[in-house]
Amino acid sequence: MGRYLLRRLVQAVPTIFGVTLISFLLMMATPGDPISLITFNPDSDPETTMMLRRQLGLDQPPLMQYLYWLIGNDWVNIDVNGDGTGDMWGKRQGFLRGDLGQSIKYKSSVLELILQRVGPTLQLGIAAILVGYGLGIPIGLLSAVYHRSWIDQLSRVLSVLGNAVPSFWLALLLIIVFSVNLRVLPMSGMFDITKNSATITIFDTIPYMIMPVIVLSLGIIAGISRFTRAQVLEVMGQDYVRTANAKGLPMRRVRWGHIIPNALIPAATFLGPTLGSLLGGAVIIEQVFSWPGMGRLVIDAVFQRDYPIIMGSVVIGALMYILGVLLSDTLYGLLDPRIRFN
Amino acid sequence: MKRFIVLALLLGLMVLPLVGSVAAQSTEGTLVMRSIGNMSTLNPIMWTDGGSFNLVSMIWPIPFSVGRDSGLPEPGLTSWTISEDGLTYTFTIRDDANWSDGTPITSNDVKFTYDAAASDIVGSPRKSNTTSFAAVNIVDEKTYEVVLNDINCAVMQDFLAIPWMPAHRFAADFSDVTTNPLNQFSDISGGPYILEEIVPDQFQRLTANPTYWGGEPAIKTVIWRVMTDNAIANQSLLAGEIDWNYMEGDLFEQFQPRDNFNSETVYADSVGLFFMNWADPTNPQPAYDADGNLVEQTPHPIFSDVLVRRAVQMGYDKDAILATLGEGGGGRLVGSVVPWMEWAFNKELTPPAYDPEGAKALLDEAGWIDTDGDGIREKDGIPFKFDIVYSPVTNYFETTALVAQDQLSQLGMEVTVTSLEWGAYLNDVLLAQKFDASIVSWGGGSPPDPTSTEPLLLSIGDQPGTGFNLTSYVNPELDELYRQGRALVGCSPEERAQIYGEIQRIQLEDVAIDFTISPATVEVMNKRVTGFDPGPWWTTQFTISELGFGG
Repeated sequence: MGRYLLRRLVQAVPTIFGVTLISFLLMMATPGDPISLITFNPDSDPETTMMLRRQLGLDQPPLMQYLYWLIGNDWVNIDVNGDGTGDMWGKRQGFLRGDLGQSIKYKSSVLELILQRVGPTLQLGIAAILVGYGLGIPIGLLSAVYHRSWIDQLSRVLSVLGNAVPSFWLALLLIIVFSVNLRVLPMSGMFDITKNSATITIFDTIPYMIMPVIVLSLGIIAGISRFTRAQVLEVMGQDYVRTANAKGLPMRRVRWGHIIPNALIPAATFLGPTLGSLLGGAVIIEQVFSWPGMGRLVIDAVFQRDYPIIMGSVVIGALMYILGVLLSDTLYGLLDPRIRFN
Repeated sequence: MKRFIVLALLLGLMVLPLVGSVAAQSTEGTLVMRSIGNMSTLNPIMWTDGGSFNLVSMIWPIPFSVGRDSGLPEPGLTSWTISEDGLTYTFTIRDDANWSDGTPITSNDVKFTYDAAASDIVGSPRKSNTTSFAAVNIVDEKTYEVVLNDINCAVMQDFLAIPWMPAHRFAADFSDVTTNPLNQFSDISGGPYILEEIVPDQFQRLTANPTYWGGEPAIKTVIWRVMTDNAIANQSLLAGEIDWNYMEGDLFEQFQPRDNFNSETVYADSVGLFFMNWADPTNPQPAYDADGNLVEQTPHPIFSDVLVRRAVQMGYDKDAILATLGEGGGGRLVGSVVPWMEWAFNKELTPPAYDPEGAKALLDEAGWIDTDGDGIREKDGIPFKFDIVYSPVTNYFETTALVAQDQLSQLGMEVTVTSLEWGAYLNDVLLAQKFDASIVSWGGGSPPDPTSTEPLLLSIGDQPGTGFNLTSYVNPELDELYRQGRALVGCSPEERAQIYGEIQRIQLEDVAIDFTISPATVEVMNKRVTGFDPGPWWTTQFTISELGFGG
């Protein structure tokens, strides 16, 4: 299994490079420019604009800029004032040397900015997955076991709602009901802002997580419950279940011993991609609930054309997706002995 | 099954009150303000965003204040004299002004800051604020002088745009200006508040600076809470989670109930612009070539005729647009000076009235006539067809575009409307000068001065990609008037008013740009806060140290 994991990780390297190259070229092809957004004001002038572009290397062709991002620019003497002679050496070390660069907006390390925010995003995302799986699987099981009963019908309605209701709309609705009218849940943020963050524990954040987790997990509940239901119904029709019933095993034992374990194996395959897509799913929700995670950083970076942050987020997102899929495959192999890692 | 459902309901009922008690945050003694975005840097010569400005204005020394109603510079941390030739500004810093670590705020801090902003190795977006400085000289520890290259009547804006850095906390050769840890968290302050904690994307908490030269602020703790979404911010205001927010008048109309709030309509130096391109947008050219010779630009097929521009100007109803902005709304413009900059506003001019019949007559006179009866005017085989492009960053841009499209179409024009994301619009359309017509606004600096709109009309600013003369309007007479207005010996407001009055007259006569409206915003503060009195020129961000809690 160790060799299998190693092989998969090595295979991920060209994938990461491919993702970064394509993302960089797509980003460069997108209209807009970070410096214009900074200098569109009466205090600026064309000279300052050009100076900032040269200093950040934005006056270079796209492939050269990608090269700077990849291997750094500390070998380049930058001509900041445009007089034809170098004024300062570049400071970037490049992705290959573990440097994701410096944000144009924040003027600080992209890696630091991401590390500050990846925790809250994972906290929200993992909570949503736990709630989504924790409720979605039992609802799916109940729908299958009580096939065509009112429980099944209710589950279907919930599933349709979960998929159809826009998340931002649901988020606003929850805020108006629970924060503005009932005042039982905090509206936004991650913890009580009057307290020092050093004294905050994860338990202090729970009230702030309730509404975002409800919104994020609703889609997961809807998807996983329908999938579980379909799988259980399929397994219930298998020969070995019929045989177990025929030989007089109690229904409870048939369900817990034969139907559910076999039906849930494919559900594990959902876990990886769900983990991988945490970043994308959280963007809107983090914005609405002012949750200080990666989503807000990414959306701000896109609107500000903060290329280093966008690239850093692409790398982190790609890594999360690759690791998520790897986790799924590994779990699948562990749960189903018919599947071998070789 | 039933047991399970009952159990789940009971659990839910038990948890909610617990959560409710946790939800009630106590903000007694703490002022919570809404910040529209995250703080990006605290560096006073590197910041470019509103989130950073909120903190920069509270922790770094600014040399003077601005009269909230007059808009004139008023002595504060410094007092100053101006030499007779108008070239040397000598400032004296208050003797009792110290950094919060006890170090005196000195002339050396000022010189270090201005030199750093001007340095090529720093790459400061404030560099342009130092281009008129010939020298910054230290006279003594508390006195410094700034010598200008030429007389610059708007130079006070440059001084105010650059708060001071504590020189003793930076490398003297500027090598750490962009990397110094103070840029992300400052344990030192020269303003009314000291940073206590920053939680990225959530809030910044500050405590009153007991050694502030203006006296320790009455409110001991201020929190800037990051809320990017307007709707959520307004709900938070109603729920008491924040004390202060600002909004456009139309949003304020929907803001109910208001019993617990004080509000003030604030007019700023912001001008709404309806650009009509004077030059051919398919081939944007600069006004001057590399040798400084005037470039003959291909005129725009429709808007190069002043009769057409005037017809468009009077062909859509700006008062109707203003009415959509709700309470307070804003004001109509005749040129680039807002009406509340009273000393410079030309009161003899009146904004062009909405006059569709007059507009039709002008179009007929200009030779644009619907000859084939298809409802669209033509001239020399060219149909009167153009596109209005804008970015919906503010509601009234969209309103203006749609009103103009509807009403101008009724005059025999085929008008299309294109809405783009701000970054794409700004760089690839507006700055690139690739548009027929466009809608945007332009904000001025502080203290307010009519020079703020110079970049929009000076011919030297006609540089596709980087300049701000976006319509390629080239008028040597206006260039000269702008030069005179900025470089007038003595900077007498009366004499400058005559010059800017003439500038507005020419702008109106030429329809250089169709100046539309100047929108107002409404500041809303919870009634528990006293001393809330923002003015058009000095908003609440600058006056937090004057606020308190009532009763």
